[in-house]
Order: sequence, then structure tokens, then C-alpha cells
Amino acid sequence: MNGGRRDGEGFVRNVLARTSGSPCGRAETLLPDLTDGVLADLDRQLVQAHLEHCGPCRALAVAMGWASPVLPQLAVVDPGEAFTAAVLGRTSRRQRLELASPSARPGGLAGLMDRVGRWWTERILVPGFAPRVAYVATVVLVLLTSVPGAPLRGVPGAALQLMTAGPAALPGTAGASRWLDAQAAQGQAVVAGQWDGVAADLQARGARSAPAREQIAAHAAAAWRNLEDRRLSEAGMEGLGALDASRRAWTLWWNDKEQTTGE
Amino acid sequence: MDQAQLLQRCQAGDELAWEVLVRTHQGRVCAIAWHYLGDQDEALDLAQDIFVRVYRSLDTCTDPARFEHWLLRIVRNGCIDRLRRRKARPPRQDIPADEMTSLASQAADPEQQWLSTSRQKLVHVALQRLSEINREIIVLKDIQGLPLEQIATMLDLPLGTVKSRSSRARVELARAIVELEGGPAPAGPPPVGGFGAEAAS
Repeated sequence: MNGGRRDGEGFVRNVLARTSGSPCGRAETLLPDLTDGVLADLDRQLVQAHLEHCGPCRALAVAMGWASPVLPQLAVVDPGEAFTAAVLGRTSRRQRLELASPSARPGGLAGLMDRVGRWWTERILVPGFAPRVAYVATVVLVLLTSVPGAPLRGVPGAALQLMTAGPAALPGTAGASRWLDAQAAQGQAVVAGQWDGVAADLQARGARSAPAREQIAAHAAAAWRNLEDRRLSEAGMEGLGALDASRRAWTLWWNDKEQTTGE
Repeated sequence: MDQAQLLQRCQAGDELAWEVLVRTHQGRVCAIAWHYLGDQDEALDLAQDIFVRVYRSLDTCTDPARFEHWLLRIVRNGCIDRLRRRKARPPRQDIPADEMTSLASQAADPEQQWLSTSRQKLVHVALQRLSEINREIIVLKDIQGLPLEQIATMLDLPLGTVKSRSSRARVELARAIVELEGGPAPAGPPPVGGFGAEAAS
């Protein structure tokens, strides 16, 4: 009797394999709806008829049937009091107030450097940052040195020749070297002769433009604070002030007295 | 307690309100992190980081009605980020067997505390065998009970795609459970054989 049933199953499978293919895939797509009880009546009867004869699909249906109500039981776990204490220990009112209050953050150049520093730290912590940078650097190097028409084409070959044979092997190196030595000596003499005058001149220029440079820093810091506080018009005014101070600093650096524009 | 009031108190810096908020959501946050990562210690560590991140960006949650959605998005992003870092990390060195013995904790297995029944344990293990996207959909839809529309928004996928993937994920989970139980191999159609082959078997 059982042998006859198995023979019948084998016959059906053979027929399906030679005609429509296995119905298991179709049954699997309907199993979730069957489990949830939302399958249309005809589809439900068809799937149940298939399950009567297909052990693997029946096993899937049984597993899905008992797993579905178990899944919501995993929605919440109890991490314990130690977890709560650890979270509360890592979050404090002071930290929150600092984050909430723009005045507590460093302003001006220090604030900018702080933001740039944090941005850079976040970037370098991204996995794969170093290989990506190395890849880009390699591509740039190849484009600069190896592509026809590249500005540094031939430099690697020359460098290799220099490393293997020494500088004397390069054509014209000796003459260039003598010329460079002469230029250096001449430059040294000029610098030595004029250094005192240059130093005094630089000091004088620095002294007369110092107030204007301080004003630039003050205006820039004020503009930054206003930007952080979203006071855009005040920030714009401070920016203009910084520009004006820059113009005066530039004028005082190159001239003995501040020159006025032709107003 | 009203969620909006609680959130406002937290945003004003009320430590008591923040404690209630942490206690209210810590079980769910830890569970999601655990199902994503599969490792309990790492999940607890990540869940702490997530709460610190939430605390620091409380001001950016302007709509209290969408707080849970906002929180879940942070949790999910944290888990995905941690999984990416884990993939980029070099494999850990093997610990010698004798050292393992000395490192083994005498306390009860912590996962025993989170999984009370053998069926929960089986489902949790099967969950770790799924592909990342299928596990994510099971976690969000079948475990956390989020509506498909919210999952589609969160995963940035069309609603139809999420529906079909949800069905496939449940089948894959059932298949993993059957394999773990040592049942018949349900992958693919049953073997095709002639009368002779059936009879011989």
C-alpha cells in the first residue's frame, strides 16, 4: 500500500518535472500568508494539498507556524540595572548644556580648528580610509608621471637613473651644479649684506600694521560668533569690518602711512 | 507618561526624565542591536553608544510623535555602521584552548537570561544564519512589529520590494530553523526519481 503511494508520488514528480516544474517555489511564496491566515480560500486549499504530499514544504510550514508567534517575544530584552547606570553615567546635564549653548563652545579660530579637527577625526575613523587615500594618491601619481603629455613624465626614469648611477651620470649635472653653487654664494652675500636693513624694515612694517591685524582678528572672531548664533546681518557687518581692517593692514605694510582711497 | 512631555523635559536637561526615557526604550534598543550583531556584549556596548548619541542630539528631534521612528533610525544606522566596521576589522587571533578555559566566566551564560525558551534560542540562532537584508526585515517587521510603510521609508526601498522580501525572509528563517532541527533539507524541490529509485530507497 505504502509502496504504491510512493510510486504514485514519484510518478507525479516526474510528470511535474517534465511539465510545469516543481510547485515548491510557488508554495513557499504563499506559506507566510497561509501562516498568517490571510490566504484566499482557493490558494489555501491548493497549498494544503501540496503540503500533504511534500515533506520539505510541510517542514517549512510547521517551522514557520511556531516561529511566527515566537518572533515578537524577542522584541525586548532586559539589559539590567548595570546598563542603565552605565548610560546615565555617560550622559550628564553639564555635557548637554555645553552642547546646547553656543556660547560655551570655543569661538573664532579655536572653534574652527575644533570643528576641522572633529571632522578629520571622523574621516580617518571611517573603515578603509587609508587604502582609499593610497589608491587616490597612486592614481594621481600615475597621471602626473606616466600618461603621455603628463607634466612630470620622465621624472621617475631620471630619478631611477640618479639613484643607480649617481648625480654625475646625468647630462649637464656638473654645469648646473656649479651654477647653483654660484647662485647660492651670491645670494648668501646679498642676504648677509642686506639682512640688517631687511630685518629692521620688516620689524617696522610689522609694528605699524599690528593694530590693523589685531582688528582683523577681533572682527573675524566676532563674525564667527554671530554666525554660530545665526545673526547673519551682524556677521556680515563684522566680515566687512574684517575686510576693511585687512585693507588697512595691507596698506600699512607696504606704505609708511595709511593711504585713503580717492574719495 | 506623555511622550511629548517626557521629550521636552529631556531636552530641557531633566535627568529624571532622561532616566525614564532610557528605561522605557533600553530593552528595545538592546534587542535590536543584539539581533543585528548577534553578540550580546557588543550589542550592549553599541546600545550605550546609541543612547549617548541620542542624548547629544535630542534637540534635533522636533516632533515628539515621531520620536520612536527617529530613535529606531539612529539604532539602525548605529548597527549598520558597527557591522561595516566589523567587516573592515582584521579577524581576531585565535585564543589558545587552555587560555579559553581560564577566561570562561563562572556565571550563567548571559544569553540564557535573554532567551527563556528553547524555541526562542532556536529562532535567535536561525536569525543569525540569514542574509543581512532578510535579518533586518525580520527584526524590523516580525520582531519589532513596524508597519511595512515605515520599514520601506527606513530602508529607502519601494513598498512592494519590502513586502516580497519580507515573505522571502520568513521562508529563509523557516528553512534555517528546519536545518537546525535536523529535519529534511527543504532547499529547492524534492528529488525527482523514477518508480525504481523510489522503491529502492
